[in-house]
Amino acid sequence: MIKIAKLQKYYRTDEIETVALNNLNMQVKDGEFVAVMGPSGCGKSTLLNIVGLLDDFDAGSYLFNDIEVLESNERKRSELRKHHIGFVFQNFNLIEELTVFENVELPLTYLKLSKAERKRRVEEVLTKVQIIHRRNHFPQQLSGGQQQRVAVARAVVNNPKLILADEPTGNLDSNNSRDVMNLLTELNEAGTTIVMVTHSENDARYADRVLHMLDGQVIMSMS
Amino acid sequence: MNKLDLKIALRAFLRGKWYNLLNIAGLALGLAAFIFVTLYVDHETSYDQWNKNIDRIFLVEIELPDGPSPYTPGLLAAEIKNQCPEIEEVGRINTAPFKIPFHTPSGTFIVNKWVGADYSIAKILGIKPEGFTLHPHSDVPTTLLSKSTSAALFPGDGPMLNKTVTMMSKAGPPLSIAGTVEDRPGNSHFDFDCLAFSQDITSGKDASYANRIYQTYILVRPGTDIDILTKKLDGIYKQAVIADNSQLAKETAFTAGRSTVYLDPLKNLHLKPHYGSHVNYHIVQCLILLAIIILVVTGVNFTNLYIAQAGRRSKEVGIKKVNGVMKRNIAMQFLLEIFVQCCIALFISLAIVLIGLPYFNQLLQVELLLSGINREIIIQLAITVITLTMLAGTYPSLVMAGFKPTEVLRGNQLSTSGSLSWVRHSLTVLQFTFAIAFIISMILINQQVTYMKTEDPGFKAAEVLYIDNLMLFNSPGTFEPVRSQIKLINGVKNVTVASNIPGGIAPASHEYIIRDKAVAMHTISVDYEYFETLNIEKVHGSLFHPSSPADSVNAVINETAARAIGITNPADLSVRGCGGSYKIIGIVKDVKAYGFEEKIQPTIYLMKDHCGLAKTQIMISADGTAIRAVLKSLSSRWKDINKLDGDNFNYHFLDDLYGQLFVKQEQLRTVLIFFSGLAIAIASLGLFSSAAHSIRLRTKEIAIRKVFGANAGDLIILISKPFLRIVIIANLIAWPLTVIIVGKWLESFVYRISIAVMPFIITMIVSLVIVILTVSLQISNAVRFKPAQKLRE
Repeated sequence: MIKIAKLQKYYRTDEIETVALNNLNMQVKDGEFVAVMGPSGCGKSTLLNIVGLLDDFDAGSYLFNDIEVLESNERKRSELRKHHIGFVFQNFNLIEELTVFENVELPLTYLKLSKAERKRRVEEVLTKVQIIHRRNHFPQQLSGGQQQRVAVARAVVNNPKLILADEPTGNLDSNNSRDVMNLLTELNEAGTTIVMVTHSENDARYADRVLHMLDGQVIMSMS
Repeated sequence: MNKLDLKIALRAFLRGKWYNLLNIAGLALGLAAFIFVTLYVDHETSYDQWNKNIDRIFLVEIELPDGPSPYTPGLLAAEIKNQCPEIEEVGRINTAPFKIPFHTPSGTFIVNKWVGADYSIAKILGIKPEGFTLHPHSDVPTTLLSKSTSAALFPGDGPMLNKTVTMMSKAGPPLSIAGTVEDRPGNSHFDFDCLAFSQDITSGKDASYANRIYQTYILVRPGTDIDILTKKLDGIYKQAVIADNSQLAKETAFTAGRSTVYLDPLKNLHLKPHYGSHVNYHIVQCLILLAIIILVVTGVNFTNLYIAQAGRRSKEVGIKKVNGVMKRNIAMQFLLEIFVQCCIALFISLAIVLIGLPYFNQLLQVELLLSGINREIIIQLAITVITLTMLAGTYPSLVMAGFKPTEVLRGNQLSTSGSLSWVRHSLTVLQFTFAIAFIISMILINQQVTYMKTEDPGFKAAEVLYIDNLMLFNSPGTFEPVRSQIKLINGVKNVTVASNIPGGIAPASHEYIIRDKAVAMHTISVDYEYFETLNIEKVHGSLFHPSSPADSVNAVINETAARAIGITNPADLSVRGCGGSYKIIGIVKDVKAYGFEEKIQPTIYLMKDHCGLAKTQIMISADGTAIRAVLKSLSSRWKDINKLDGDNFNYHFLDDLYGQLFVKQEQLRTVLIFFSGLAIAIASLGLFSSAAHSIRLRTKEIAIRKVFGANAGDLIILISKPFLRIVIIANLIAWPLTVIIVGKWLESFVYRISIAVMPFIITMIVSLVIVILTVSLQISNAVRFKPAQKLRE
């Protein structure tokens, strides 16, 4: 699904140029659950943004489902994101103005589905993440763990092939962390590819493979 | 925009409802000001536009050596008609120089403006009687009344036809009124209470080239070259004057040689006639400028406030982008939201206009109606709202649509430095520049208005009564009995009669020959006690006095005339002009009788003139404390004092009349106070939110400074500093701008203040105080919070 070769990314300011990713190579197969670990500033989040087509890179190659991302324009990347990629963030990023149901419904509104179909899918996924009873609550009325379950539901509601999770348990206690990790594992077992950035050794254990990064490079891949 | 977008927009709006309502209120105020101005400007520029021949109608005027005159000789019209086939129609009007009482069995009505007109005027100026047709070639005169006059004289419904009134007194001559004038479809520069059509209005009057009392309108044929026609008319006038053999015409010929006939287009007659005041035009220009500035300030304020709040929607933008929504669509969504807010503001502004219109009408002495909002104004409003949306919304929409999901979804605050903050600061500078320019302009205009009201005009208008009068008192003998009877009343000091009064219609100008030198002078025909009544000071020589039998050939001139002639004392110098020969016996001080915009003209005061000036303007000076009693006595005795007026005792205070000259400038001052207040309010609103935004972004910095010992004063200085810099820059930009604009306005006054430094310094201080107060209000929260808590966040 993901084939990255010699990927380079720099951050430039007026005075200095920082290398974020340095000739990085990585592959993720369909249905794999990959955890990315490494110290702060090693380039994990940059890598995740590039994999999620949210950021550009300066050199190298990135094939997403055999499509060269470097040659895709913004419209094409938007389409790929819309249909194939779901995101889960450390700080949940739920829209405060929308209810649980509406937050999860949001990605579907861009897919031109009927209202009934949207309702069916949202209810199905909310049931799966066990938050259906809170469907009409607003995010600020939920606990952190509940919010992250909603965020996971939003990420998977359009059945993406790939879920990118950026420290999904970073703001959660151990019980809630376990619930969220179990949820991701279930999704993975159902066929969804998952790439997760984490600091937690415990979370990394849920993955099929752990990539260790340092100074913009993958230095170790452990199965 | 889908349903969820709408929900987000609505809920986000409600979440920050006070802030958003404040923002919309700012927009609504700006729009309301703009609508007021649009209504006023549309009203002012609509004059005579309904006349389908507007581009072919001109008033024939003459540029005399001492300035333009709208008056032409009666005979000129016929000459023009004969010699110019390119002219389709010529017509003259003649306005009565006094008010005429009309009596009916049900009451009395004073006709302020009685106009005599050739029948052809009806065609040229689009005047139609109600209920019947005019016969333009009829030998019988037709008298028509305006709707309001008719309603006052003959109350009741339906068209008024063939009624009779008596003129002057109840026993005066009867006048047959044919009917009323049909409402014209729009405003017209030509208004009247009573309009008397006849085949030839000069019939039985002096129509010679020496007597310029008629206004001549022409309707030219399509395609006529106006420059060529103007030259042709000038030639016709000069030849005709030379051909006229009367003695007076010979003197006129002397003037005519140095005069030029020109055409003033109908479309200019209301706002910027060649002859007459351009004050209305200047006010329209000024208001358009103010309205545009207010709209820009409003738009800028909206942009500023919207961007300050942008961070609150950043997560939404990030999530949408992550879910594949294009930047363009997000920008369009925000633009649409701003458009909706502009529309809401428009409706609120219409309500403000509805409530404020009576005050606005009172202020500018107009009768604007919200129902005056026609298709054109609706289109203008639609364009305004779209422009405002683009002006206020484009930048924030693009900024918000440009948020990078990789940054905003990680919870990063928007950058405080860089282009965003730079643009916001520039916008605040712009807002303050306008607000400061408004304040300084307001102070300077106020200074000029105060100067005009307090500066000695050379005469004393206070405690002087001016009485409407129909009787001609052209020789001192006829006025003496009136004077002596009035002077019997306790408290009356001086009584006089003259052809002109200060603040009234400006006197006619005539050419005088002194030591073989021609000097054009305003001629005022006066009676004894004229200078005493008006408290006009004598500079040299003597004034008119009943003990001097030669006063009928004596003249008094003003200082400007003395300078024009080149004398410092009267020296019994002889002048010839206006059909007679006079000896200058005295020089009096200059009088700013017609305001501060007009230059004082050389003026000659005559006891007996040969120009045919009508002495009808009675003036009485009285003891201030006795004025009530004087008026009471005059009212009860007037029918015995002045039999022609009968029961009609109508008086005015001369200072009220003179004060009318400043009304327009006072209106401008009030409008500017209003706009300044608005601009300051909006700018302060912008500043308030900018300060709030700045404090929010610098919370951590403030907390750290507090940990290291900063107190409230230090923090106020810290946060205020960039804003103080903004206001100082705004002052420096506003100063030269204001000097140029107000300087231009002041140029319209011959007598004016010089621009001093003080208003600029005061404004600088005021604006700095506003900044410190606004920032202090915001910072009080930041000073109170616990640094530990903020640092943990």
